[in-house]
Amino acid sequence: MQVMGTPSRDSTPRAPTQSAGQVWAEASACFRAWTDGETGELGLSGLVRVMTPVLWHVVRSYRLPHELAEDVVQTTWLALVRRRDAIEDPVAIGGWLTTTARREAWRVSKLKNQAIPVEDEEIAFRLPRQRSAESHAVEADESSQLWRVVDELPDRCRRLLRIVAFENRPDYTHVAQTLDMPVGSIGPTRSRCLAKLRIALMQIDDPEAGR
Amino acid sequence: MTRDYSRDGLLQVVREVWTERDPMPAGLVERMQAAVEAELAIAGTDFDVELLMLVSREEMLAGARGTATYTLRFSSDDIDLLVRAVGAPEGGTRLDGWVSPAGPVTVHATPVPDTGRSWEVESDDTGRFEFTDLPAGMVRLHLTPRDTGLKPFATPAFEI
Repeated sequence: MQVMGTPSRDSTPRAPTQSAGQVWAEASACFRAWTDGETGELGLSGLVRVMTPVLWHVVRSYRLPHELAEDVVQTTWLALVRRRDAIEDPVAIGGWLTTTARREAWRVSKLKNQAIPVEDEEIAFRLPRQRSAESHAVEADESSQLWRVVDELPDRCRRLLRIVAFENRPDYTHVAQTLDMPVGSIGPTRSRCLAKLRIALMQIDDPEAGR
Repeated sequence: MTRDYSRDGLLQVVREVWTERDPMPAGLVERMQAAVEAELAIAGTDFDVELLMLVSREEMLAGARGTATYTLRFSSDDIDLLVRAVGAPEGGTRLDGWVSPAGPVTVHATPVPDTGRSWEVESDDTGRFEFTDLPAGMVRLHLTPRDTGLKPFATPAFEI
């Protein structure tokens, strides 16, 4: 079975999404500057700009509707303002924020359990945004294929991979608790989910694969 | 371009899919920046304010005359606060609140971001209060028990 040698049909560079590591480094720098007295974009405002998208995706993986998700993100930021002095290591700021957000999202999702719509009903399937005329057809095709691949993963894979993708080395004990999974199963489940994703991607990149 | 099938490459795909598929609501970053600024302003003056957490938020009904009613419940270990906001078609909002355990409180409503205006009302002895005409938008409530032995408390910013 030869799969790796076939070039992907997608030769168009995609808008780069920063890795969790890069986001975490920028967050640490902003946090350190804020505690050193910096205001504005170099300090707390910058930290909010950098980490709010991460918190959004972490919180939404707990299937909270938009408004509650936004409230949980806000609660997380207010908690930071109040407890800043308790965070001794600026490098830990990203993990502190995502852990706080996850705990709060989990708590709210438990309270709201009956009323929460399932994620797939909540999120309308949107058409990919147009980037440029010439790459549009290729990219639309590529985007919707990737969406379908992620969509077809088992529910626990989708949620776990979303958390793992946006967080930087999350604490598995805490993730396990909030996803109602045994702690020992997180590592193996993550590996299985990544393997499923890899196979599915290889199949869209090379439809001959696996035949 | 050959796809990167490594762990990092796969997680990159996951990030891209979710970033496109379930993007942050418009203006979220700006709202959060305004919320932390408002919180810093309080923290600078009074560290002893207890922060309530939003427990639930329900849209009760869409009124026949273009009004919507929201019920929000906030709580901390010690206090529960129920708020009902009724939007009027003209843009003003009526806001009723109940504090539990019952007791007289002074309630401040401040828009977020701060516009320099704020509203203040006194609750009755059972902890019930009302604002008859607040501007629509993000607002925070600060509640100060008239029994000075009790700590003041505040809600996060919420939309009315």
